[in-house]
Amino acid sequence: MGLIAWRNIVCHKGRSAFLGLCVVLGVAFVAGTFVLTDTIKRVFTQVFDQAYEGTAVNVRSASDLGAMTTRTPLPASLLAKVESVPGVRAAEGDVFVIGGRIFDSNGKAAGSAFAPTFLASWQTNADLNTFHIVEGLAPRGPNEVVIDMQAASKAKLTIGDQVRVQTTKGIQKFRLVGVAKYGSAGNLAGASAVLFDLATAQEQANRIDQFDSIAVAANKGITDSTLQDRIQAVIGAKYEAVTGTELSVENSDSISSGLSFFTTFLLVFAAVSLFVGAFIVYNTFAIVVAQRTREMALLRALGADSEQVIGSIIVESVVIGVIASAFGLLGGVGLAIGLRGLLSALGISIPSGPMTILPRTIIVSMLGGVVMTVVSAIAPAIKASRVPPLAAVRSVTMSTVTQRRTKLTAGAVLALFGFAATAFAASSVNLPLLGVGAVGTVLGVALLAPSIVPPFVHVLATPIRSLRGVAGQLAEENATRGAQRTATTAAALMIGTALIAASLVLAASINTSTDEILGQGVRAELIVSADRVSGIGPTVTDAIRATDGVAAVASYRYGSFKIGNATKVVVAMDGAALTATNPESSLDLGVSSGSFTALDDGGVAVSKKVADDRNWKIGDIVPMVFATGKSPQRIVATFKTTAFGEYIISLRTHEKVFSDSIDQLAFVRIKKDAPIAALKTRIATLLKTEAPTSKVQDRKEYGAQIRAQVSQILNLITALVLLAIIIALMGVLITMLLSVLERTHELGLLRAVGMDRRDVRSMVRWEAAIISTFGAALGVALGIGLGYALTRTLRDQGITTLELPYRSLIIMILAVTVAGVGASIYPARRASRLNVLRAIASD
Amino acid sequence: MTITTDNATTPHIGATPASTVLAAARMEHGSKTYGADDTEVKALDNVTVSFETAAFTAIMGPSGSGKSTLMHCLAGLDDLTSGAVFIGDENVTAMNERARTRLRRERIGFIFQSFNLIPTLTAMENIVLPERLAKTKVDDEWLKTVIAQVHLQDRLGHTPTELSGGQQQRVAVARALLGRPQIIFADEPTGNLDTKAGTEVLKFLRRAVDEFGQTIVMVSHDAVAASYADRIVFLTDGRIADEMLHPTASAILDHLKVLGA
Repeated sequence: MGLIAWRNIVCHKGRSAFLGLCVVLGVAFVAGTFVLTDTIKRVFTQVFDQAYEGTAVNVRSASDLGAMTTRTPLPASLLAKVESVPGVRAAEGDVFVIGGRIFDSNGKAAGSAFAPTFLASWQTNADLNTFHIVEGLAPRGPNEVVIDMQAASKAKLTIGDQVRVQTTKGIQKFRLVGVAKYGSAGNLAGASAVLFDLATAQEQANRIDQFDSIAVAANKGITDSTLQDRIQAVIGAKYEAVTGTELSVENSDSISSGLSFFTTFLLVFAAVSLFVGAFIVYNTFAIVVAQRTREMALLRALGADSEQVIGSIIVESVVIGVIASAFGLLGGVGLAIGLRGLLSALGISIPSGPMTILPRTIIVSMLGGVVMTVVSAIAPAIKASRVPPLAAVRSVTMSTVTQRRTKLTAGAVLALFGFAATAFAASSVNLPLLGVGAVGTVLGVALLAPSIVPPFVHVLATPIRSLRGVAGQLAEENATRGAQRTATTAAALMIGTALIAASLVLAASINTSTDEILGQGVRAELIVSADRVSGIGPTVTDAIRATDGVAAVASYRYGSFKIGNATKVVVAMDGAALTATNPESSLDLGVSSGSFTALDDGGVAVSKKVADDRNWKIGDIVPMVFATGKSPQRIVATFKTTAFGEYIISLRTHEKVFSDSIDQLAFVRIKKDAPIAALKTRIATLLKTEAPTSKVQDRKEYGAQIRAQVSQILNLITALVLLAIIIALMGVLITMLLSVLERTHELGLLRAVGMDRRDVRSMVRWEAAIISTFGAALGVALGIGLGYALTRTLRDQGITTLELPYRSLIIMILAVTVAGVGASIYPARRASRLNVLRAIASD
Repeated sequence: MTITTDNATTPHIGATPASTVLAAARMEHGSKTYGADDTEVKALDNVTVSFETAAFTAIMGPSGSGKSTLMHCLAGLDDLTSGAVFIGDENVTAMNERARTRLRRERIGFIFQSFNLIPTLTAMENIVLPERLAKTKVDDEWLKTVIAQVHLQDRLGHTPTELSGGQQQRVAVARALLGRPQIIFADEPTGNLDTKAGTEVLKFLRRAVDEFGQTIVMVSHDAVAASYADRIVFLTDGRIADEMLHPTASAILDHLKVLGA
């Protein structure tokens, strides 16, 4: 039976190739995700290993927030204590602070908007220095800097140039004296660094008499861990000593955990693609089995038992699965290379190195691809084995009536439970359950679809019939006749369409809700914001405050803290800026109880939702843990609008519990009669020189910026779902091709009685159009339901309004239909080119 | 599946013209009805017939006489409504699907009117397909003999679409012969062929009986084809109407005229 399986693959090369391609794409997505993230992990592990090679022990402040957090600086006096520990060969304090920015000669910020720029000290001890000079000299004195190689080449800066750098002291000019590498890499995971000598770094990074950490080199013959223990004993519990190895692992782990979200995110879409592929494989095998009924019957008559018939189809699927998965794996490596290029174009540069293909990648990709193909072929194979040998000599109708009823019930149950599970999973952010729910929904709808096909197709085809006459009518009949096939093909299209539709609904709802919040909750006329990594320095805020016509400026900061094991975000603003009765307040979050004014004496305001969930009331203590340690806060107010954060502390509290004082936003209230536009221009001019990475916007522009961010994410999701849609379109192609093949005789007859080639083509294309529209419409319906569920879930995150983007949804249905017709061009041409005589003669 | 137990356990020896002991296949009181009530059609009506080993028997009759149903039931492809079928001494009627599969594999050969071959396999692969399915070793000497018999030596590597109708049918004959089955059922094997190709196929069948002692049961409505048989069983309205030994084409035609009247 292996031979028959193999011959079926070889003799139907086109079909096998398309089928294989559906698997290849899904597998490539999976493999690509793994290869890319493994490569990134491995490369960074190497980089960190190299960077910390000479560091035996590193001393830093202890933190309750986990490894990679901003820590409180160390007092410079600690260095002497560490140096006195026996076994320490050298110890050097360093400064390493986020919040710098390098500008090129045109005044444009260099480096990516995603990764920060560090302000750091140049370590004089080469063993302890994570950087090393590749060109030029180490920085010396208050006017010299070294920057990382990547930043230098991006900003086109050469040694001797004057370089403008933003530090905590504002923007200043320095002379570039050297270019450095971090470990073996051009920079740190895309982040840039400006390196000063220690004194200058302490000055520029606001670390006078302080270090961020102390790096220690060990004497020969003493192990890192021994030295670690000795140092720990000296420095006390407020500080901690970690070995260089631990530090390296910590750094790689933080990269890995940052990546793991990215990996999961991509894998979800890869799984969707595989799932859609499985649908196509199932559909194709089901059609092929139906077409090969006589062949199966002949095999049975010649003595094949049902296991052998099942076997031949399973073997066929295994072969296709194995070959396609192998190609998919290769494709995945290619995809990873492409994605790496894309990331570096986005400014997330990954140090060079060969692609990492772990055994896990190979196993998961191959197994995933093969299992998916084989599982999809099982039901058709079993159906094939039920063909009675008598079918070889006589047409045998296999009863499907009872099957249909069971199918309907099963479909309805599956769809309902699937949808309920999806909705529940979306609210509890339970990814596995979400997957199960989504699969259930899709399978359920797919089972239900055949009975929706005839009425739906009839309505849909009404205009086509009047437009295209017989060709239209036949197209409708063909779509209805193969209701199961139409339904399955459409279901595959439905999956991708539903995901995009749900995203569209969610995005539209976010946008509308944002507009509402900006309209009602934000009182500030102007909003100053920085790009993601820079922040607004205090000098800038002061300058805006001093601008003529400005009534008040409210700083808005945020940072993370822990309650128990949960990491949360806390916002810092002054109580006055939040007090609705204050005519100069910037935000109106709707006080439920207490008062924001009380914040200025310490304490925290929490959203009503959080307070209700945790059963907190005014006066209760929230056990907040910050990077700087435990700092429980008394609840002084509860509020309704959560769009700006769920926990709010005052700026003064913020300065106590965080070690920086950088604003993320500044809300500007202007004087009553001051013209908004003129003031905006004035602030913009100020920012141009003082903070080129910041910008000032009115409420409308700020809303548009949020819209742009939302649509960016939407575009990313659409791009990722596109693969699933392409696979589904390939399904349309295969289905139409097989259906043309099946109807060879009929097409011959039609041609013989006078249908011309154009009509034949048009008939096939219209059928594809009907299938695609059906799939897209199902998808949109499902997507709206899913979008609604998601929106309800996120109501507490400030998404208060459900908005249906009718125009986009209709455009999507049309686009999918057009794409479906596009996919049917080749089958249509095949159909129109049939030799009439031979077609009629064929059985 | 209905089994008349007394028939199955106590064969009616002597109820048929040929000796039951030698019979390669036989049907006892076989009835087959399609549909129910008003639409009921009796395709076979209490048919008792036996087919001699090493003989070439033709089943003839007008369209709708039940000749194909008779053959399908004999071969275990279809079930009788009542009565029993034996291949050799095995009661096919009492067999489950698995046993029937083994029976088809080991003891029955088929030649159909059309679609005899798996389109993706070559002629050679089609010929040895039953052996591959049964996982038995092909007797190479015998394979050569059979292939030589049907003159297919130079067409073995071709796929069915590259063969003429006659060649395809010869492949089917070779395939049926290769397993040396207890009985070969041929369903209108020349129905789709021109006279020359048809004659060729019939000659091969005849020779298989004469030279190899093969048992063949053939359904045909063509008098010329049937004239190659040793014996003809005539069927009308699901009953055995008559039979004829050592027929000639003209005798058959005359006989059919009588039957038709």
